[in-house]
Amino acid sequence: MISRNVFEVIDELTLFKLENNLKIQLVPIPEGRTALFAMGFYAGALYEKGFGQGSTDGISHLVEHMFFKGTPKLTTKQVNEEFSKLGADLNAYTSYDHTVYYAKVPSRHLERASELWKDLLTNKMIDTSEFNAEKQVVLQEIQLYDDMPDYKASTKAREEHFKGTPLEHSILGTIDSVKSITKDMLQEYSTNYYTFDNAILTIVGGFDLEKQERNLRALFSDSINSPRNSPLFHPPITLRTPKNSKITYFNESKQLPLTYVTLNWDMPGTNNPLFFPLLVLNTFIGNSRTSLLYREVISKGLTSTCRYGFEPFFDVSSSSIMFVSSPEKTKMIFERILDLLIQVYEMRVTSDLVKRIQNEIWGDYQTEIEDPANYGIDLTQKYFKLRKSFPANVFLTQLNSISTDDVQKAKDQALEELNLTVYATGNIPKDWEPSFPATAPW
Amino acid sequence: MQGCIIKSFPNLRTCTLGIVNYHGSAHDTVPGSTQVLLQTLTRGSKNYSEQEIANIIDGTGGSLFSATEKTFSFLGARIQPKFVLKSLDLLIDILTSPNLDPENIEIEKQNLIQVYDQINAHPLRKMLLMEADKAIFGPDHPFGRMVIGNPESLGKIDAQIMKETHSKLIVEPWGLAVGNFPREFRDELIKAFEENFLCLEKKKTEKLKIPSPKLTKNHIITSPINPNGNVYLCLNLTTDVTKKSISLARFSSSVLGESFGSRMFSELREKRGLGYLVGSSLNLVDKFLTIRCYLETSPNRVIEALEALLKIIFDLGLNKIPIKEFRTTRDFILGNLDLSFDNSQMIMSRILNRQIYGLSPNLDESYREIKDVTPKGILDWWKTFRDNGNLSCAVVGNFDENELIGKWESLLNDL
Repeated sequence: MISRNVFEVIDELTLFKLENNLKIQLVPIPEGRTALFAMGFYAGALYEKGFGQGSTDGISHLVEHMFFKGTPKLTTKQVNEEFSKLGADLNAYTSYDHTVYYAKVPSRHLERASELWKDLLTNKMIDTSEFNAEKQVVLQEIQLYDDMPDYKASTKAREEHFKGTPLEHSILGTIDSVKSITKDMLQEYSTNYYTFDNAILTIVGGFDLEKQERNLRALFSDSINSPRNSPLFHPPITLRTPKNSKITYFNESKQLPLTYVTLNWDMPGTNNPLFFPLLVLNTFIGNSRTSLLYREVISKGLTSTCRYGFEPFFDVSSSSIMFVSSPEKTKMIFERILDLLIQVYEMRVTSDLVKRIQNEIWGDYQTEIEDPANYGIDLTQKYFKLRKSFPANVFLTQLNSISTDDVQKAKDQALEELNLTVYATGNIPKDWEPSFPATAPW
Repeated sequence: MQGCIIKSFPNLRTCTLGIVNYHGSAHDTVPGSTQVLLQTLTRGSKNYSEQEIANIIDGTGGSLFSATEKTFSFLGARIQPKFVLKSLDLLIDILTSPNLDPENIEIEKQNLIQVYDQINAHPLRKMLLMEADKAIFGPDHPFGRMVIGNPESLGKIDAQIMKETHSKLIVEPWGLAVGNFPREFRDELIKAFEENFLCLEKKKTEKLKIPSPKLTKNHIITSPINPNGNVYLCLNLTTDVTKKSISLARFSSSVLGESFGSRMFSELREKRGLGYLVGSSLNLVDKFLTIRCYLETSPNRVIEALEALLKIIFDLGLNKIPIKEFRTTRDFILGNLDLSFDNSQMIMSRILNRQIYGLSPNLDESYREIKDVTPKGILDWWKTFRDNGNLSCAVVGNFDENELIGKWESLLNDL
């Protein structure tokens, strides 16, 4: 018997809201031996621009690092020990449009894990010495990623492409911005953004639905953290200029043997009716062995590393292709990739193609969500990206409803104009200036 | 036939199939040839073209994967349950009757040369994949080199070498299948394994011998690269593998650096803020077991990091683990063992590793092994380790080589 406070049962997912406005989505997996507890917030790098004076780039990520630093009941060491006793895989991530704290635990420990989470979520403490030590850890993390040329090529291309929008800075922030964040700033940001009315709790795995619902109500209903003092949704990502076809090139030479190049462009966001058809197009372009990039770039031996990236946001999505090559082959691979994009733009989408890709996406998705932890993270991400709960069978229905015409339209709209930002680092070929070939429609 | 292991779990959505052969990179006469071969196998076989392989596996949302380890290799697929029999047929076909087209061999060879260069330019990956084993086994021993070889050795690979490598690949083969198999289907799967393995039996060859490595005590190797970056440090504790030592080492590795509650995490990251990446892992190669403890830190704190890490490690051989910490670690490992049970590939990987190292493939046994560990057992093992084990160190990144090597020697003397 489901309680009267439930306002939606969507296929296997039960969604309800507590009086303190905390939303909870539960998906029980019959016979599941593990469970994921994930608390996601409308907070992340996109929200930072609207907060405080001066640069606070990286503050969401710093909050994430400080999250596990103890409560009045438990010291940091005790928090770590308590989760360790459960065999928990404890982690968190900060993205542009949301932040998630999560733990995967054996199902038998879900109740104890929920108690620990409640303590962490409602009794956060920021100790000055721990804050200072953790800032050092974050500065190290920034430098760690700086040592990775493939990561750098991808993030810099995106940041340059979205210059002038809230997507222009890195999630981690910079050495200077992180150094300038004070404990008070962190406290204020944390109080404003990491609130129950700004959050969704997702639990997926082996548990009894009714019992779990009862436990969560008993545990969280009396908990109040401060009401939201921030807009629920991040500021819109509005591109600087109307979309027109051009290539903007940035580079940074480094003493490395190889060249690392990323091409970044924008596509429609999740608020666009053509968003789901776009997923079909994405699967066609990269990354599996059936994809165009694999068949025409990797399989043909142009490079061993050529990855397609797609990060959707509500207003806009960021698409990218990153490749690594010797400097002698950089220009040729870049031109080949442009040829392939032209080929995609000019092709006629067929029903056979759409059907094949629909099967691939669904098979791939089932593989992905076999592990309740992956399913829980996927549901959390979808909640923030699509701004609604979206369980597997709803996704299947959505996927099956995509028509050939939809994909054709999505493709035409996405590639009608190609505003491309190219970023290269490492051993960059001299005098290389990326440009569209004469045959390009752009 | 060495047999097959079929495990059914009712909660799984996928199946993972695998075929193991006791031929790995350490058997390569030309380093990297097994890895090139495994990559080339997926380029087509007698009955399946490359495109058909992609359509059968990837086109249905599955994935084909291969792994070259030092002493064995592995070819597998994670697929939807309804494609199991077809996938098994495909795996056997590409393993026994590959096309080995010279053009594809050249492409895979060039791909691996690029992968080598990418690892070499990435200090963290260089430390873990290239330098750590070199520090333990020496650069000239087959265990000390990377499974993918190096640009020079890869450059020598041609169709003839591939043919020879393929003729030595199928050694004591055995199969694995993990998924949600109803009883009647399990019988069908066993039959399919038996029939398909007859093809493997015909191609079977003798296991090659690998000379024993001579481990050098307190060996340090340094690779200064990336003058503006960080330092990446890996301490390796290597000793002989025995059935009992695996659980003792697993336990020790957890105490050292496998969780947020571990000693390395608490001391190096939480307390001192020395680095973001802090951790330890247990690695098994043939008859050797290594606990790897690694961290990344800034250039001006590398000596502090090295000293602190050495103290943490040495303490395990000096003092018994306090009972509270012992229980927390045991609960962590036991709970953590459960976490792989919702993923067919992870379950298969655990069974595979247990079988390779002579442990029972029954995963329930892994719980018992951990429950049998005692604080005294760990201390005694570490005392033995102090006399017979080997410590080595690999450092990659931005640091003063002379200062570091000098400090390494003086720290070991002091400790």
